[in-house]
Amino acid sequence: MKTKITLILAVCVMTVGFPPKVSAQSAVEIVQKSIDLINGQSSQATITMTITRPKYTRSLEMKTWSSGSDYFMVYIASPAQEKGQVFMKRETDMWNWIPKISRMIKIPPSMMSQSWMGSDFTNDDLVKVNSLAVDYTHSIQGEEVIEGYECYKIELIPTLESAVVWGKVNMWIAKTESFQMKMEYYDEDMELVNLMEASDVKQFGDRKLPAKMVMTPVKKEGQQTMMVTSEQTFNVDIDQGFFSQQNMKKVR
Amino acid sequence: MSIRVLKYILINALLLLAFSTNAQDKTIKDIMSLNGYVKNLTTVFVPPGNDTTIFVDNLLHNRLDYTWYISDKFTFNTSMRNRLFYGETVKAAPELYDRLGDDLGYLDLSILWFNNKGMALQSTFDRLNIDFQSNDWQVIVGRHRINWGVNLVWNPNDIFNSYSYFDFDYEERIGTDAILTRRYINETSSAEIIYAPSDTFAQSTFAGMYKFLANNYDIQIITGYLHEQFVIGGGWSGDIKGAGFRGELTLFVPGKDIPGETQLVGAIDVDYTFKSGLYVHASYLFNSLGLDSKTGDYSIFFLRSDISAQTLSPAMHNVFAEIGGSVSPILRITFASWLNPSDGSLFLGPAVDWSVAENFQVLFNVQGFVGKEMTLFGNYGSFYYLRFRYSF
Repeated sequence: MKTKITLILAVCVMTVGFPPKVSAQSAVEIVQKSIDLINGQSSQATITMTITRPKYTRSLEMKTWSSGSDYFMVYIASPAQEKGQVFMKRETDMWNWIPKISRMIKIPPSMMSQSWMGSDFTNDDLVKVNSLAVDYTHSIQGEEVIEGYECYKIELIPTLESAVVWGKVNMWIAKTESFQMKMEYYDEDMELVNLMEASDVKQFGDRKLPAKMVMTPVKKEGQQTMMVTSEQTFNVDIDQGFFSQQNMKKVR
Repeated sequence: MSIRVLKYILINALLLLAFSTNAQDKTIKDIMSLNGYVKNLTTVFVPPGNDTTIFVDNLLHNRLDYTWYISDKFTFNTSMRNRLFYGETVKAAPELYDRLGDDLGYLDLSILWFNNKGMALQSTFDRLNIDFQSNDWQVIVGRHRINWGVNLVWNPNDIFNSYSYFDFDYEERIGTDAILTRRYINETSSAEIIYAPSDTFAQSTFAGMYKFLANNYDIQIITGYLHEQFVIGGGWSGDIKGAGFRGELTLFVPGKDIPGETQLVGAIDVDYTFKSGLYVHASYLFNSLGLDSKTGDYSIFFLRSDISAQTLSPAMHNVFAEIGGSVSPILRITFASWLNPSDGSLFLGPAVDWSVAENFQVLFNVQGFVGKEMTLFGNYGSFYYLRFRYSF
């Protein structure tokens, strides 16, 4: 269960917005634009996450709602054992509603920041999405076509004062559409650790985005985590008042 | 009794019918949901001492949770448990199972279908309620779970149906027959009052809770009149440097001319999850009427099935510690213990929870009791459990 919580939290953060940052026209702006695209002012989505290991797979289906970077709610639709659970974040507070025991649990930060064991995304990938724009120096290394999209290849080197876990990150961002098509995460010895590949570009509301994201730890054979967005709408009509304990008990 | 149960089964059947005629534009999922599980729990009881006899028992357990979303404002919920007990204890001491037909609530919604030849079959509805919501208001009428607990082990604030820590196989817990009226004051605060009727007015429960968020802490204040006692208490849940920090305190004061002593029950709960996934958890429970002697008659503890916030433990001081973590996405191992520092007796509870397939889980755990005779955990032997669970 704890694994699931972190997993869900991470997904929430992924679907939640971060405030746009104004910066000079450059590699960093391309990166920022790609981050803003995923987010929007508010959004609602249906996501399935599948964790694959050599001998098994596990899936989690959820509905998410978000407003800005500080408010989100997640409803677990499956598996059956977890169905009906709801997670909500309001700024720095986080709760978990468990209907079968009628319990509202306040989630302590240590549980939010634990390593993400179930899947192949690390916390830094997920919780600190905006870190890609602020914790690195960016440079355009060239152009490549990925999945039919012309992409900028951008190299991200962590700044001295940042506390990121990666030694280097490479990003491939579609030139006109701005979505992140591929990412490579290198450790401090400059060895490739994780590979993220996006595909299956679809129209979601007012924008196009890859519906599928696969994270593969390259050194661990047979492992990966896949996130598939089946529905997503942006700038929906929900405000901060939607993110209430009353609604946690009502959404489905 | 059974007439009432039949009545409710009938009501359920009618509701299902009603739903089927109502389902013109909406899909079944929009209008109702039916979930539940089937579990089989095998228990091996090893008595204390040198006797080599062991007792093997089984419990086949089915739960059905049914919700009918009647309209935006009305929801109907019911949950049914069907339990088939079979094994050596059922055969040797069937009288222990006769009580299963007695419902502890105001409504009689339990039935013991049979209890003979080493088998007992019981059905009960532990939820049966109508939930009404309009704007900031909510009213729930019927049998439902009123859970005022905050802590993860001991819940002195859970005055409606606190439970034994050792009853790990019934996480949903029994419901309370009551009328609850709640107002959501804002996104994170609410106030509620509860009336739980009883055969006599004096035995009825009236209680209220106010809950709010302050400085990243959920805080609740509770008060009420319960079992001819006045109750006042409070609880909190927040964090200290990332570690979960919770507590509950409840004072029970007997009513005028009612025998008994004023009792204070309090518990503190701390847990922390390391980046590696390692989970540590500690708790302390204080019961002002509890025993704190080296030896004493603690036995009532294990005999009570209707454990309350006042009988969470017969010992004055109780220390709980737990360590655990997920070895992989599908395997979780934990080790819990409960110590009575006054008499040195100890409970030890290792557990392995394995998700074998998407909806199929296996749990293996042990409840080991260590201590001398006439101590909290002394002379109880040990229990080994193997549980299969299929959820749907």
